[in-house]
Amino acid sequence: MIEYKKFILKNGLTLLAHRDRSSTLAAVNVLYKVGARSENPHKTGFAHLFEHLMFSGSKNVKSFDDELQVAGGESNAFTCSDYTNYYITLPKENIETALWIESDRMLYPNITQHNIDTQRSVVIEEFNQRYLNRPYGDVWLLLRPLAYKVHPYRWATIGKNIEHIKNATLDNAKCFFDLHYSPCNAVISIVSDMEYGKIYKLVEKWFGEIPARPASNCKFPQEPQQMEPRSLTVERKVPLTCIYKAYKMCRRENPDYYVCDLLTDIFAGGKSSRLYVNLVKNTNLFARANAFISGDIDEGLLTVSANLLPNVDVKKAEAAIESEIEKMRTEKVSEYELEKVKNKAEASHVYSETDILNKAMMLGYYEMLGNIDLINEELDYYRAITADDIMKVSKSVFADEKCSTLYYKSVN
Amino acid sequence: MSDILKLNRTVAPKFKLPCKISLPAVNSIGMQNGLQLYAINTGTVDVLRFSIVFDAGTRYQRQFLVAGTALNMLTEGTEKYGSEEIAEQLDFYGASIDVDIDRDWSCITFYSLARHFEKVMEIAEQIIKYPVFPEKELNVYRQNHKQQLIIERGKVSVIAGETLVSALFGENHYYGSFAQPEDYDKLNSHILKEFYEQHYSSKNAFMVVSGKISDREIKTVSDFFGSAAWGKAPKAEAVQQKIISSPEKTVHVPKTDGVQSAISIGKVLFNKSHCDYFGMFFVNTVLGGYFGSRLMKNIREEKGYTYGIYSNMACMKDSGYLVISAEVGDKYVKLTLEEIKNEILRLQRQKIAKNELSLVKNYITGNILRSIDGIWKIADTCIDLLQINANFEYIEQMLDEVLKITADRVLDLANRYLDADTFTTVISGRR
Repeated sequence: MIEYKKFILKNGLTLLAHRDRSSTLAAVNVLYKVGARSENPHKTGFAHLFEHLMFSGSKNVKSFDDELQVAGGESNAFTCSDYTNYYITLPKENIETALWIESDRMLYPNITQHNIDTQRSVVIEEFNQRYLNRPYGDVWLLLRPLAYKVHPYRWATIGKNIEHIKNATLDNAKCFFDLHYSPCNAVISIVSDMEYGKIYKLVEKWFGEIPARPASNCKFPQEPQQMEPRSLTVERKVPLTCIYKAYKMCRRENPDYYVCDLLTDIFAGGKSSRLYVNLVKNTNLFARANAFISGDIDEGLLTVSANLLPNVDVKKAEAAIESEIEKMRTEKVSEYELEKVKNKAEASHVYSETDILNKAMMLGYYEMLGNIDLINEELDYYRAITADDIMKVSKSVFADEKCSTLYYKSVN
Repeated sequence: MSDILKLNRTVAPKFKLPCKISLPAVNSIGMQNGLQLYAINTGTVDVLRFSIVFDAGTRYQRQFLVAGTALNMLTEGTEKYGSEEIAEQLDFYGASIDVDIDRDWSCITFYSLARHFEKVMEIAEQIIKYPVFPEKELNVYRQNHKQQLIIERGKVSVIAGETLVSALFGENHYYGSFAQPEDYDKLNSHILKEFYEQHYSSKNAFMVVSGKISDREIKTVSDFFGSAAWGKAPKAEAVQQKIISSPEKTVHVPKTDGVQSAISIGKVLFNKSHCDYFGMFFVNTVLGGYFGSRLMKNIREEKGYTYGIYSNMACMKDSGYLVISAEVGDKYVKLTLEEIKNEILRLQRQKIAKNELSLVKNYITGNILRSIDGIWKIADTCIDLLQINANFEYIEQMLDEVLKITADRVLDLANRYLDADTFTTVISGRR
């Protein structure tokens, strides 16, 4: 149970505060409701590139990192399709330092030609390091455009290709900031051993005078219903062939989301899961098997993936995966198995409450979803799921015409 | 816009850093069988973490992969429970297991909700005391991990890192040798059992429990692990092997199918028991030990050659080494090497400025606080300390030493330990 207090400043900034008496640190999280899905299809990768630029200092804070580190702090950030998240931990006495530098970059970040030139180069190296120079690094660069034809989820947060990053300009960056980095498009969440009233006062002091700007009203096309099975085969110099089967699933706000999450736990949550026991352990076909949901706000993907052992026939392997999927569609899960995955969901929820930074991130995330109460109520949704729900959702999700399959073949 | 703002933003808010930190209280409890339990009550959330650490790292194996496989196979079947039963039960209780092995130590950790702790510990006892290393599960493990290792070895960063460490310690040294995928084929149940019997026992271990702890949890641990002595293994004797560094100072491992090369530059240094450890830890932090480091600022933030560059001091039981590593675009290899050299020279020639000196001191202080925050991290730090026969007072001493360090000492240490011609350079990628 995470107790919290919510405030909304006059300029539209939302504040969530939670008191943790056990920590000597404070966690300050700032989430902007902008991600790769808000990008222009011809300028992809921009939300992420902009995240890098936000560390280039601001009008009154010459170096973001220096000012934070000298106060004992540390920070980082990540960008996903739906949002961009910046986070800081530092000794709790120094919380104002975090508020100073975060508010200053919400006001006037230092977007210059030099900074954009350097960060473009850094991001290109990141693209190379994480997506091109790693075995299997380009899987999602291939799978996303296969599964989505219209929705911006069709590109990865790093961008469609390096050219888009190379072409980013100073003007693009300034426009992006004006459009998306306004107080009303942001959520600040703070976990610290401090009274709520005091936290509010400090946030009001540093963020309250940031002028309100209009909220970004980014419209992007929703994906039409997929009506046909899709597949793509690529050959790569990797040790093992992999199969990815990505099925369209519901939006985040749909209660079926939780059913899909439990489904993937039945498939792949731990060593007693079906894919591990039935596919990895008891056949000689697979080195690994996994199932997971993308967790997106709009219609997401439920992906089942498997690494084939050398010389295994792809068709035979795929049939084995499909037979597990078929079982989920046609046979009711036992009460025992259902109880097991619910217990696991509960445990991971409780484990996630042991860390102040994680709690701050969760507060920001659930507020972004539009229903902060979910942070404590979500477990009830999991608890209420029945074996019939699992079968019903399986039947609707695991349909061939909703599936995009990637055959990632190993060649020497 | 600025005219309407009343707050003076040009002045940084006041901040302060503690010169003393309040250390977590560790309750050290001797078990009846001589095993030591260290309990840290962090109390707010109803979870527990239990770790048991054995002096059974890869240095003790006489054949590649034996130590790691023995550890991983503990959960794959016991006298009482089959592997599926273990997995079922742990999953049902929402518990999870982590295993971790390095050159010197092996460790197995259980995470559990407080209300299931007793049940989880009952399974833990079976896993740790009565493993049987069944052939069927071993086959699956061997097959899958062999493939995993092949994938790992396709990464330039892994190739460069391993090549460097082999060059520094000698490829036959227990700190410098690396398994090949084929080594998995040579494993069998008998060899694993033998290793287990020689290294796993109540004489060769210690335990750390953290979370919401009362007498009841202590008693649970004591009942399962602390009463009678268990296991045949004696306390490990770490026999030291001579380090034979390669005379070659530059090694290139060609890999032509990528777009980046990995750089690893390093030298044998020392471990945490050396009198200059705290000092060099500081120097290393300045050079490449944090996001604001000189290497990062210059090579990433100024020049954009890489997504990240770090230097790290790796410490083992009887040695240690410093390593600088980065993955860079092929065209930036030469330029990056030059800049690394420049940054080392700058440390040796110019006194560190006052601002940077205090910045790094403060950053390290903050990091020390982070290292003891929360139930998971506090246990990890406690284990690290116990492995060097220290307790949390060591952290206090470290903070004292770090806060005392002067610009002269930084200069002196950089000159004593960072001479360019004492480093070995490995590049994996295109030439």
